[in-house]
Amino acid sequence: MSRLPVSSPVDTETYLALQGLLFAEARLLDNEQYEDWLDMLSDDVHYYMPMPVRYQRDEKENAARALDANIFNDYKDQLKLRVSRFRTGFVWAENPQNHLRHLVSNIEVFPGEIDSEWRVLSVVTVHRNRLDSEEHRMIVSRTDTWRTEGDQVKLAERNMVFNHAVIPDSNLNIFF
Amino acid sequence: MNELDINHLIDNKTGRQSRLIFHEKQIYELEQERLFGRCWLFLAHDCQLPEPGDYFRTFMGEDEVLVIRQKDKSINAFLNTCTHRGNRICKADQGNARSFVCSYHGWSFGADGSLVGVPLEEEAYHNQLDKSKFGLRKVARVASYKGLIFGNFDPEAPSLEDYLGDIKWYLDVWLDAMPEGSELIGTTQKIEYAVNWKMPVENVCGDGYHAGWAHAGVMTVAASMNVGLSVGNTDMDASLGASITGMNGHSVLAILDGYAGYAFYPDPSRAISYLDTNRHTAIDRLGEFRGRNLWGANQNITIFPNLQILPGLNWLRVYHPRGPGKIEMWTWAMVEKEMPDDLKQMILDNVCRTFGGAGMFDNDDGDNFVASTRLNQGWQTRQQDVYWNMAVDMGKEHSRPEMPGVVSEGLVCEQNQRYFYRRWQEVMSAQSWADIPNYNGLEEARATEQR
Repeated sequence: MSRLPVSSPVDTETYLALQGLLFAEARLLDNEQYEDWLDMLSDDVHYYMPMPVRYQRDEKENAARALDANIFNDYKDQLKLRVSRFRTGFVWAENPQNHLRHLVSNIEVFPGEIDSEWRVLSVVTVHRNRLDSEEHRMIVSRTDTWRTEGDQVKLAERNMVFNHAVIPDSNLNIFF
Repeated sequence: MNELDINHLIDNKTGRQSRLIFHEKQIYELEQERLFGRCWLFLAHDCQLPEPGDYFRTFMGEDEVLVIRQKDKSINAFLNTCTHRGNRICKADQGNARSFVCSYHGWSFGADGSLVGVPLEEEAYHNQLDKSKFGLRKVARVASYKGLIFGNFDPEAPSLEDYLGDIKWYLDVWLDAMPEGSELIGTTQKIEYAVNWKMPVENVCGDGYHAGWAHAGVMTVAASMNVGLSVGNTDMDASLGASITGMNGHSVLAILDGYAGYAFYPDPSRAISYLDTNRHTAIDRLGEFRGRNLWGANQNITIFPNLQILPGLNWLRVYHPRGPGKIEMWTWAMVEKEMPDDLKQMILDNVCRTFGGAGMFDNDDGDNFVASTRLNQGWQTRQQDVYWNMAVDMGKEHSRPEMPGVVSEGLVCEQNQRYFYRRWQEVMSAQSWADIPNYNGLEEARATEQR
């Protein structure tokens, strides 16, 4: 990712508009309104979250490294497939419905590479409670590209960093 | 826990099991000593540490080990712990290093495990420290089979080749179908969850029964081929698959159509074209049956006790126990080296989407396994037995001339799980390798009948 300036040069109105989109998106995901969520994504959306690996700080940059294994490396077709799986009614791990909350913070908005795009940084903390006291919290930092399409602004790219060395739950039947 | 107790925990004639094996700390500790302390355990694939000084940090049971490629290209493995005060020596997941320096007092160790540097050796130790006695503790045996590197803490264990035995015939369908062999691709997918380590192993080892039900959602949307199982378990076709045991605790659950490994790709055409183009090579190298029926189909191969390799679905997974009620599960995608790059990337992505952290199949299983483990915390609950008793008295086990092992038709059959636990019982109750029986093929089936 190219280095971004320390402060964001966009006007308050733009900032609030994009912040509003992120909050609306979080609400749709919390409420499992997945079809509405898919409508917020551009048709060429790339939704990407590699599995992290820890190297020593001084590890040679040119050392042989494996391809990323990705927790998500999805385009719209794959995201639709995940949603259609939920909608079969056969995903037993989501029944009864789990408590799910997306807390979005650390939002920063920068102009995108072209006029109709914005680069939006945020951090999402996901709280999940399965049965009884079984709870998990996951933190993901996101670098988004949001793009104006007609009278809508749509998510065109989401590049995520999963801030855990090990996935702390038996399933990720959720989006970040 | 004495030997008599171990023998009472499992009854192979009825498929009865005590739930204590998923719960009791005492049994778990005996597993660390006798299973993980004796069996050959997967460490890494050759391709993950190609050059001298390349290292990979992993686990053998609960023991953290550091696997290092030596100057002469051989592999050594060491407990990843300083011989002075026990701190961790290497903290990175993988990398390349000439030496490893402990962050506590600065002791440094060479790639061969030897203690090479001690700060203030003269001023504080007065040169009285015999450094040759303080090298890293070496894993007694390290050996590899066609790229798969294994370690064993027990100097008395049989050779890796003998330990693998007949399962090599099935493993070669992945390791040796193509002239350049195979490799793992992608970084390590690590998932920790609250389950006894045997639950996911027994599931992948033989449980075709759960697939149509537990995975009904993903089977509905992602299955693009007939694998002999149906959504909702309304029907099954036993002729398409086989459950194969009789190999010293190792087993295979195989589909025999030569293609079904790609059954969960919405569009498997790219993979099918690779299989069709190279089928003759696989048949030349593996023979008609393996080349036509097994190569490209899925095999769930279990290497006792905690390694599973699924040629076809194309993943390799090791289960690291973390106490009786928790595991860390590590998965990699695997491919044949000759595959074109776009097919490799497609396989890596599909493995992650089906059997990774957000994998649509894996994400169905965990919730069931967690509950099957968690409920044993109830004292009354764990006095109640559980069963692998499907068709236990039907005499379905037989041999087939074209393949080694003891075979039952179909994927819906609990034979593999019963054999897995019988081996567990044998290794757990033995005083040493001398007491652990070595079976081949139907001999193992007959021994079961006599128990």
